[in-house]
Amino acid sequence: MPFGVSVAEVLDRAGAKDPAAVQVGGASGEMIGRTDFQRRVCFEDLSTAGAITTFSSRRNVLEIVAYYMDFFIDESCGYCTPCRVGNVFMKKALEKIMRGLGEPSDLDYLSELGKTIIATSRCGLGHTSPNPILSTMKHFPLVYSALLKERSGGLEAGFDIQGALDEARTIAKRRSLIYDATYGSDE
Amino acid sequence: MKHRFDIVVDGETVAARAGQTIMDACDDAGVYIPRLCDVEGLVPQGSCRVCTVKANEHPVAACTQPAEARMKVENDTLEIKNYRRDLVRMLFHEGNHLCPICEASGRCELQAMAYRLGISQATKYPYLQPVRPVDASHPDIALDNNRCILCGRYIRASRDVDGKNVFEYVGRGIHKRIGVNAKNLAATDASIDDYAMSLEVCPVGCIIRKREGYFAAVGERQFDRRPIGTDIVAPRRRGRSRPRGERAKDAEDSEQSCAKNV
Ligand code: SF4
Ligand code: SF4
Ligand code: FES
Repeated sequence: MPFGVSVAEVLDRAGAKDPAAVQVGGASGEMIGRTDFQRRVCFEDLSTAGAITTFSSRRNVLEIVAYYMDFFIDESCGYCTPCRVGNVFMKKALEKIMRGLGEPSDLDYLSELGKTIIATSRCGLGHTSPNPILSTMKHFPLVYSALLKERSGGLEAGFDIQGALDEARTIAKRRSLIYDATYGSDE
Repeated sequence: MKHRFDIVVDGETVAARAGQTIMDACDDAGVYIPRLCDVEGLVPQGSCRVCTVKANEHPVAACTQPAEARMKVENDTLEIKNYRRDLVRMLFHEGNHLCPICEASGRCELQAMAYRLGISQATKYPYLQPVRPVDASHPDIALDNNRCILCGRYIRASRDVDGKNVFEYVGRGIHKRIGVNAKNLAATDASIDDYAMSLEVCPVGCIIRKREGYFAAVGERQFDRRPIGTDIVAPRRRGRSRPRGERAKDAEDSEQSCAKNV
């Protein structure tokens, strides 16, 4: 296929059924949604050395992103600080959001951390590794915001008190009288 | 006569010589660029990234990037400062840093850098809380890798100055750490008199010189009175007597040799 072809044409030629998300450019590329399928595959727009991956509407975008982040954490050689440590922090924040413990400020956290990793990493891996998260935050904002909760009080928003107590509960072999009034009642 | 030219750092003209890195030229001119993995006397390796500056609008590591004529360098800007803060925070959160009970407190470059960059509050990152074994086998030296920031300074000191190769990086990614060239430190030919074990090489409290802890009283420790970097900024007024060498070539070589380990 020639450069300049639109994503929609590629999908059509490939016979993609129900495409909902398309990753152009391998793991570090850009993931776009249906509204962007008219964009073109070329250096000026969506650049790729050839890899285009499509995902149907039955797939969870965040699970795909988590998989890509694991790939980068695995591939990081560990030489420089931002890529070695930063990618692990990106993934942890993503996991927090996926568990339903995220809050709106986590999005700023992810963009700032991603920006630092991209700017300060030593090689191309770190220069692109935050892309799966950053590009899905841009093109699939609703997938993220649907999971974020504004917490009242402001303090310790998103703090998982039950998760934090778990280890102590195991050691003490009993529950907390203050925090566990309803804990486990749905089991 | 070496080719001389000017670079512009935050609007200030800085003289440079061919073969110098941005960091070399700035040090000579008394312009401080924060750094952790780089230290005078060792080949720069560009791994901590704390020395990140923007050169002609592109972020680069000042300790390995050769200076070029008319280069426009941004060093002390809010954007760069934020990058550096993030990097220093990452290093704190990657290891276990309980400064109040650490021997290096007060002379530790990571701690001093945090103060210099204005980090004094708990940060937003999660703690990784590693549990790495402490190697106290050697009669005079202990290694606490839980405080290691992977700067590689004692690797290079042992290899290039002591000629011993006691240390090397092992593992990759977030599991990367420093290993010794034998079963443990006692089984290597490491000695307390090695340059690698001197106080100026390990920037943190990873190498511990036994029976020497807390040698300076609180208030009289290295960074208690003067923030880190003061020794570089000060000579500007006195005229610097010790110009730094031409390390850009060294940096190139080291980047290549490091690439092999990647
Ligand atoms: S950015 Fe490159 S050099 Fe730095 S840790 Fe990642 S893979 Fe290694
Ligand atoms: S090595 Fe430095 S930063 Fe870490 S605990 Fe010791 S004094 Fe604090
Ligand atoms: S001082 Fe330049 S990368 Fe560490």
